Amino acid sequence: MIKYVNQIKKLVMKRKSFTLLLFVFLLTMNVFGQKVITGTVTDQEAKPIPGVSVQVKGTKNGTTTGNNGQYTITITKGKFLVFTHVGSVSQERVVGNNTEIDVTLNASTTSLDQVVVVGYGTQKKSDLTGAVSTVDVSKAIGTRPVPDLGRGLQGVVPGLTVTTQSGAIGKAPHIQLRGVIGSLNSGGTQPLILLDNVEIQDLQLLDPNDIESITVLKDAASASIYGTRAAWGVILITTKSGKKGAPNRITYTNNYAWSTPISVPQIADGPAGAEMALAALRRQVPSAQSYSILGASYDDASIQKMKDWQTQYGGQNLGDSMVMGRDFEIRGGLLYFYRPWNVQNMYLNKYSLQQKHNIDVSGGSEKTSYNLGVGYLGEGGVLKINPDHFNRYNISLAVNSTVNKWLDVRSKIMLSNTATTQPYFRLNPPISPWYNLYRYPETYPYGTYQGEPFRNVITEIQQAHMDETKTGLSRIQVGGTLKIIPGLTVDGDYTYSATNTHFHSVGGPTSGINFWTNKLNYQDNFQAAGTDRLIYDSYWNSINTGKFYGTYVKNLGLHSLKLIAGGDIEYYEGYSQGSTRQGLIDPSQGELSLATGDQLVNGSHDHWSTLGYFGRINYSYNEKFLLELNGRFDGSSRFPIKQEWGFFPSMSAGYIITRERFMDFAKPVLSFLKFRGSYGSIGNQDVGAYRFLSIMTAYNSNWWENGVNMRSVSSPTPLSPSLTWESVSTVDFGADARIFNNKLGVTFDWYQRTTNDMITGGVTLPSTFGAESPVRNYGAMQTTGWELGLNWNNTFSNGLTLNLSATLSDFQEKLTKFSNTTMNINGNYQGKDFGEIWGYQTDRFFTQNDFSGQDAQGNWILKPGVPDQSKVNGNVSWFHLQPGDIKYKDVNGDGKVDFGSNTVGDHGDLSVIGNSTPRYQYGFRLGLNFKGFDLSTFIQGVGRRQLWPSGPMFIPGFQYNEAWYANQENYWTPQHQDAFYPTPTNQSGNNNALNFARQTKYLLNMAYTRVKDITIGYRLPDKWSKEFKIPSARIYFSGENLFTFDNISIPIDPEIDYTDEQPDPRSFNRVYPYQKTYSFGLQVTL
Amino acid sequence: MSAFLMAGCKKDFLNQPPLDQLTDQTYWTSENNVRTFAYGFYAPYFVGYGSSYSGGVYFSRQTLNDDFAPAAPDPFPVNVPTSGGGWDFGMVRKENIFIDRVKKVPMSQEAINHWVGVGRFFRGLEYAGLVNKFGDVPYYNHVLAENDTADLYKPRDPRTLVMDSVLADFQYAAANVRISDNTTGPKGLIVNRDVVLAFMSRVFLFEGTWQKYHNGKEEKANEYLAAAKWAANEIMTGGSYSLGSNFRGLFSSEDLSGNPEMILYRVYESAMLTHTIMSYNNKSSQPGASKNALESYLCSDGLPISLSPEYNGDTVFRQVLKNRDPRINETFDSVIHLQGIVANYSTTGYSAHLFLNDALKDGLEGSLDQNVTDAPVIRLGEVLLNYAEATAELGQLTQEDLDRSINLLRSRADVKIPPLQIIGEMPAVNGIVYDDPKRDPSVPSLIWEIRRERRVELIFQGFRLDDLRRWGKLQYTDTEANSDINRGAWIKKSDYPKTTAKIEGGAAQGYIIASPNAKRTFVDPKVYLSPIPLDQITLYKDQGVILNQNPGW
Repeated sequence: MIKYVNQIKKLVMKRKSFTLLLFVFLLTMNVFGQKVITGTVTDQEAKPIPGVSVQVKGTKNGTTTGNNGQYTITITKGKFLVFTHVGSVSQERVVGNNTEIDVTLNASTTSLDQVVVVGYGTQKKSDLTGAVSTVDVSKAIGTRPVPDLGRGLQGVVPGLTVTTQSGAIGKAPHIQLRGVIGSLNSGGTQPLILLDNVEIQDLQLLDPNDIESITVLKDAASASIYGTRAAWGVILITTKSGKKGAPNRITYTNNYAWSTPISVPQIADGPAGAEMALAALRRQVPSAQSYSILGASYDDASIQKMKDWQTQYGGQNLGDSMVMGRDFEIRGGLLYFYRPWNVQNMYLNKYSLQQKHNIDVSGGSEKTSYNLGVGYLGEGGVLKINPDHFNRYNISLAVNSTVNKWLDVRSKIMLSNTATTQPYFRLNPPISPWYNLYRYPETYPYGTYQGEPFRNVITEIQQAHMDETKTGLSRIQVGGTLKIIPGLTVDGDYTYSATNTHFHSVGGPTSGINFWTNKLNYQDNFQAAGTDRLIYDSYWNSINTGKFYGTYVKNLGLHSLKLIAGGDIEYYEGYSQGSTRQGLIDPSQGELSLATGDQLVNGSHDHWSTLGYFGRINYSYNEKFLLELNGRFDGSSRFPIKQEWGFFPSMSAGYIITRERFMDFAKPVLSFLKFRGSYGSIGNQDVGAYRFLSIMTAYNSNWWENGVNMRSVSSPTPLSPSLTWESVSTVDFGADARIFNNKLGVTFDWYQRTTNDMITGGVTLPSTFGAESPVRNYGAMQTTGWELGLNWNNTFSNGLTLNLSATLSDFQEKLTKFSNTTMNINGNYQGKDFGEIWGYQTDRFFTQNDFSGQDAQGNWILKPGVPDQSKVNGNVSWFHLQPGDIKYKDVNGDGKVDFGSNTVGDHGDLSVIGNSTPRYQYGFRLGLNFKGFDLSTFIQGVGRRQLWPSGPMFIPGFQYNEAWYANQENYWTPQHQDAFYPTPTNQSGNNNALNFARQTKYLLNMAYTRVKDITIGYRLPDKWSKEFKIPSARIYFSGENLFTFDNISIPIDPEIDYTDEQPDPRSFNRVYPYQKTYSFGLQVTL
Repeated sequence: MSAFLMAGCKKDFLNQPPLDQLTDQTYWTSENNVRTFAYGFYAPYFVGYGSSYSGGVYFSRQTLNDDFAPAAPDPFPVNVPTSGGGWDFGMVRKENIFIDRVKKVPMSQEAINHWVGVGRFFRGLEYAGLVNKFGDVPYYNHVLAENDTADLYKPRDPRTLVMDSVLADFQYAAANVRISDNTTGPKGLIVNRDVVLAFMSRVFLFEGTWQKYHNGKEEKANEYLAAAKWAANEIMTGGSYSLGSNFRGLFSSEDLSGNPEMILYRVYESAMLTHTIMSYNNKSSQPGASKNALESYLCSDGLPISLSPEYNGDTVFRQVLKNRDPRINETFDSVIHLQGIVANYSTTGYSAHLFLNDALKDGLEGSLDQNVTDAPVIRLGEVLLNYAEATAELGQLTQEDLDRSINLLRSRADVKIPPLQIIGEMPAVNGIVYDDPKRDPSVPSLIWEIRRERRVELIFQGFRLDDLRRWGKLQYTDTEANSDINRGAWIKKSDYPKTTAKIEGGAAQGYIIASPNAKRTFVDPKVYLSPIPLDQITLYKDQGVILNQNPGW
């Protein structure tokens, strides 16, 4: 449609005023064999690009496109026209018979001329001297059905670690930059995430569709201009704001996705599970007859009954109704269950639906531009019986206007609302519905008896009301640029950002057969009294941010200079208030006014402020030598009175060697090579609130008088008078190169980041002090790493375009200074590599040959010379080694296997057997474009990572009477000696004793390669577009998480980790499953 | 922009003090704040039944004694812990802060004295607990600073020196803590002078007998026993408390506020603060009481089973509990609970129902950690026993003393067994002197009977281990030497063919053996005191100071 309009415009123009002139021109040209060429230059989205340089190749003859993207030029037939524009891939066109040449320029992320958003301004990519990465948003996220930006960034930026922990919906992933720990005080190396220069606390609230560009500032020199909160780097996200002079345009995109769980835990089949549990119990209590778990009992007879059941009824559809005698029995006052259930099938959807819709309206006049985005995301959860859901609604509006010669104004408004609903569950984390779902044996009763359900997690979830969490973000930004004299501008921006979260939860009764009492005892409500309640919790906070800075640019011959000076100020205030009321009148109307019981309230109120003044000088000589100096004078309310201020300088420099004459020889291969280095330090305010005050915290004393829980306050925290800032300094060396005529780009960085004056327990004080040792600036730690980015772009003569990009990065974190006089390896100590796992070398299983026989009690007697490993086994009185137990290696040859004194100097047979830090993280993208078809694939992975978790999924017999898993049936028996697992044993919840002391054999290898995305699209051909007056239309299909390659010895997802909600070791892998997603969608521009 | 500049220039823009937390500098301004702080001492010291699934020493939370015969007896600890192990001075610090700050609060001298007294009472309790566990401990009566090296690495002070300070604290508290403090809270839920005195009798009975039986220091023993006797006597003569008519009700009532025996109790609130003790007596299996414990109950004629003609023997279960001190019936169910037959079995067949509230047992509040019965923290019954024992150990026990202590317990409306008499230093009932043939020969007859009374009255309340320790009688807990503590009810297999309980020697009839495999032996007297954790010894050593380990560890 736009092109059509342009043609009409052209026609009108010709007619109106220029006809005569053109005629004269044409006449003249024909004389010299020259002709006038006109045309329009547009971008991939068919928006016209103003300011494109159009030159006749090999001459100085040229012009630039106007605001509507049009140009007119005189040229001889057979010559070449070169179209170049900052941030786009240049194109050449030969002049033939046509007088009209329209060109579509592809945006280039690799071009050195690309302009990159950096702190308080922009910079040409070739001029960067710090460690800065940019993200090609359209490629990284594009049409992937990822619900949030964080997931889209995984594997895209070298040095950025994005982890998800579980497949839960509506949860933002963890984003960490250059390391994971950073300081023992902060919540990890979470970079400051700035949306249009102001922090956004939860990326989940942002519609990825609204994003224009992303820049990651990785080293101190590039991030330090943002001050104390930027100690761990900065992610700068810029949202769309429209282009001046661009035509009005509507873009609609949608996506429909179906997700299905992968790696769901498989509970062992009934008899096998009970056999393992009984065997484990009998090892401990040889005379044990049966065991129970919450009302369900198991013994030898019931194992036989389960087997009989399977023979007789297996495979039949018996419905949910359970029959006494057939499916279960009461014996000796205990309930025995025989019938198996597939609890996952009852609980999980095979497929859950997600949909996304976005409408974008943008455009602009000569003076004003705007962009309006409206988005919806609806993510269906995996729960079948009472489905959970995540919804997000976004509206954003940006307007920029040039008011007059000396003033530009801008404004952005963003509204985002999310809602997560999930069934209420009576227990608090770590016990979640997922935890309980995988907690009980296969024959645990999930059916009904006489029409009533048994008490279990399915029944509870089925009858639960929905918990609802609603979050709203509203942001208003206003700002302007004063153009004072040429080269000098002053910018001011103010942002108000408010986040509100409301949580509503209604408990209420659950009815069913409460067989936990060992009786078939139907109860209208078997829940504890505490669940008869409703909760309203609210959290609200606001951040006021002001930024004010001047920029002065001056070019003098070969010298160019850019100065920035300014300040920023932030004030945060947060509140929370929670109300609980017991005694629901009607659980279906869970409102505070409709409850009759006790009322509880709680709340919090918190604030902080920062104020900083900064300055930056950029100097370049002949575009060859580059220098940047930064300084920031920083103040934070997090620091003690009289020490609020700190000065943090940084610098970086670059040298573009390919600008030197002597490098000309390399030009055919090496188009560009820059070396750069930087050093800087930033103060870290993220050390916890009020560590500089002797705080007394109020709490409920749990002593009740007259129906009131008496409040009390804690002892004041002891303080060290010398406490001050932590500082984080980074040294970075890097190189950027373009090879093969700019086709291949290489970027490499090596860095070392040191956290100095780290606030840690200063000195170990004896217990007589009566409190934790007051913290001091005592510790130091260091992160060392490197990052490599590669990209390759080529358009082949047949029109096939191919682009490849790859990232690879690695880091290690070490504690370089720490006060721990005992050097205990289980805690922090000087020289510790973070994530290290100390363990034993597994030798093999014990066999009969290791024993000389059995004593009177039947306990096996180790042959002399076989190393004693009782310390490793944990000195458990009932645990006597026998064939089928794990034999650990006596590494130091002292005739026994032990841990010495668990110290660095004396660690017995322990050694570091692995590390849980992800090493060698990589991402690889391949994109193909041919005749309207496009194909892209994105592969992401981690090269090395080990884990020694806990919980029943990892350790067979972790709690012997809970569920065992199908893969754990592969255990040692005299008949099956090449098994994977040892003889079943009750680990009693211990993940470092008996047969499962930390050791090489069972250490999980969490390395993986995952095909994150495959997308196939088709763009409507231009002639159709023109015919249907649709500038652009594309349909696509995509698959997420389609294939995964790993070497994990147990069936779990390689990305799984402890979650924030369930950090308890027992909950490992008992979490929301990861999912595989198939989707299709449409993108139309009108 | 101007706002920005103004804010930036404002000098205190970066001074943002905490909004919902208080600081040491600003907190100590009123008696009300002092009172609020003091509530922080209550739950840690007046644990009662604990909260949710843990806390306290009632019932099966203390089975290391001779009352219980669990399926696997808790062994004595064998290893020295690397850290922790109860060697913790956090509460000492808290109490010293409290005592120090209270003195500066603007309030009347009477109020200052009262609250200093409260602080010293809690510090006394804390040090009594540390001494109970470790013996010698470093004593601090002030808050330590990070650089008080000499104090931080102070060697252990002798036990008696510490206990003398504890005595001074209690004496100060007894003289200054308010007799009643209605502004603070209702009687029975608040520290008043009686609470101080009651705990004083407990603490100094312990220390007095410890000195007597471990150190043989007659003089110190007598000083502490006299303190215990004095404190108990103050309560007994104060007349504020009397014995109720329902022994079991002390442990199973939903509301103890009206109970005349309560000096201090802990209130539980449905869905807010709940416990698990009652559930242990309800539908779950439980560690049973030992044959030895059951046999310590007198017969209804006031004589021990070995002397009483009323004793029916134990080969018929129903008969065991007949003609006995009625507290046996209040403590135990009249029906045998056998493994393999009922789910709520007991390892010995004898099933406690002391903590069971019959009205609540089938409701939501009868199971799991949802129990709401109030917990006695300290009561007149114990004070009477403390009085009798301290007086007897002092060698001052008269018939009058017995009549106003133990015999009050025996005359409780639902107990009613003949009073204990003293005839020529010997126990007697109904005028007839007797001597229990099952008596530990090293314990004098009269003391033996006083200890029996204590065992019966205070059973399952977490006293027994401390009692055995202070008497130097941990050998009673040895399952080999004292095999009756691993025995339960006498049964015939043929009467209960379905039971999986083990009969001694696998015989067709005989005593149930609660723990057929695991044993507990008492070999090394080192376990009378707990070990000092290794890391503390090392820390001292690094400073060139020796922190002595307890003997044997």
